[in-house]
Amino acid sequence: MMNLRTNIGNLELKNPVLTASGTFGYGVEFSDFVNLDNLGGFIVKGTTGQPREGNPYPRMAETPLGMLNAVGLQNKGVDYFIEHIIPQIGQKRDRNADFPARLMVNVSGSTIEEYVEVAGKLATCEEVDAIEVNISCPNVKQGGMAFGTDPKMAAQVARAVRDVYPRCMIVKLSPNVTDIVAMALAVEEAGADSVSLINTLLGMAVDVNRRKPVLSTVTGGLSGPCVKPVALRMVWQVAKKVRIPVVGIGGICSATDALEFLMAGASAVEIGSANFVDPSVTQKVVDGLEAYCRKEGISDIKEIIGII
Amino acid sequence: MNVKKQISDFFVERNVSLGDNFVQLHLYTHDKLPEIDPGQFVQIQIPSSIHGWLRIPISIHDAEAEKGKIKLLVQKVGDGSRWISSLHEGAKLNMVLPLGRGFSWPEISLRQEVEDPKNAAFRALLVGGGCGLAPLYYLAKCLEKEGLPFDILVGARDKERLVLANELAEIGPTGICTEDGSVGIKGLVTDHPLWKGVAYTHIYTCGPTPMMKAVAVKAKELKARCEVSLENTMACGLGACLCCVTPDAQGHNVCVCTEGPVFDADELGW
Repeated sequence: MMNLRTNIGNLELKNPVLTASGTFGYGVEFSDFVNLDNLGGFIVKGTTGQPREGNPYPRMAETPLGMLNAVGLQNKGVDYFIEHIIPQIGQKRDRNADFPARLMVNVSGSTIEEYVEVAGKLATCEEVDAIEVNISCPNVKQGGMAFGTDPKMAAQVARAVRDVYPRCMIVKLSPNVTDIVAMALAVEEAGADSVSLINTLLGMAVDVNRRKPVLSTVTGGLSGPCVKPVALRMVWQVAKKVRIPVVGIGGICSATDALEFLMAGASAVEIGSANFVDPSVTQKVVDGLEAYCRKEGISDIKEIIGII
Repeated sequence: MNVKKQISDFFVERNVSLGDNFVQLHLYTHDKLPEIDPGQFVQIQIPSSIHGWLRIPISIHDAEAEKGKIKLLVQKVGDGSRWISSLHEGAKLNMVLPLGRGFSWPEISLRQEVEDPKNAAFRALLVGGGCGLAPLYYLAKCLEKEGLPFDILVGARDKERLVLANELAEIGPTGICTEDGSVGIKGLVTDHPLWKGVAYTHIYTCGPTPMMKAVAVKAKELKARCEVSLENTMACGLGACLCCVTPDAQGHNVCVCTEGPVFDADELGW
């Protein structure tokens, strides 16, 4: 029997496959294609204190083997999430699963107070197994990225959230920095149980016929297979320096991609834009990891984590 | 209706060229298909390359779900749609379907008495241009099946750009407008005399946005219910990525892929 179990701090996952925030909705949108409880966990959309409408259309531009997005954290706010969306997610869960997937919520805000408000409210929801603190959204004017590019501010957010959220706290890092290791060390010091990286790379696209930017916000976040080598390099650099587990994100489309991240030091991975191309990709990655372990005679996936 | 979405392999049965810019793809699958509403769409996987990676949304042009058959009208606009339109008989196409909310009509069926007063009250006008005619074709077939009366109005810039007009004329009375007058009435679809002669209760429109907006204004004047089908750029098609949004009448951003693509014109903030 292969063991795909892995840990993010005290939180055990049945396998290392998670979904990246903003690419998997609330999970329910994908329940026709994937048994949610076959995944290690799913991280649902960035949630803020108040409802947000996000940025104007157009919010997306397809780029070579990738895409730019500028959604801008559109969501209905934490109260609505707790009251209406958590029960909807519950209806799509597999009640017979012996080891259910972990439900994780991406937490965003414009101020430290907003992060604290959202995390504090989620701390009271036993359905939520972990939070991912998003200090790296490139698509909102205030907060988000600002917190994600200054180690001192990142640590302040992490410490404040740590005080109100007792369970597993992951901090999601931005690649739009000179030294991502310094960011990781700062939030580790502030009490994070794990860091996830990378969020999207800041990018831009121009419509030459209209002579205008494609996105309403001019710039947006780049994701997809084109960012994978950058993400992998950063995961490897960070995993070498921090003691807490690292969650790898960036262009993962297959089990082979996921294995690259695990070998580079990630204890788990998040699948993002690939969900748009194949809504069942997460299940395929889980199956592929199992097949690889069987073929290679690996009894415990932890054997290969960080072997590089 | 909330049917289960699925990922299915389809095979090309026929690829019919319709002028220089369009092909009509006849497809079949061995998978069981759910009931498909007119106005719903599919997300087509294309070979991953630097030119394209995300699936391409295309509206369903015709469906015989019980036979596992659908048709798509493909306009050659980008690399992905050019690839799709070049497929030969037997080629495989992976699709996610059925997606989105389609057109609606009052629940009147042939099973009811023809004298039903509701039935007498219903009269629809389907107005479209270019690719927008694809879902209207399937809508016309569905309305015909329900025994509901309708007329069709097709607009194009000129004779060369006119598409599907003959096919639509086989299903119902079809008026044509061209901007240069090379065929049909000269002018825009909103100039056609059909609007004056019949008291339409339902207007369905799909095509270029300025055309749909003008049609919606006209529908309001007639106090007719108007449904429009939008075509925003999208990534997932499942309501997850929130890339394809449009503002509704209250100013809230709603997903075209799941709340639409068909909207009641009064629900939209345009």
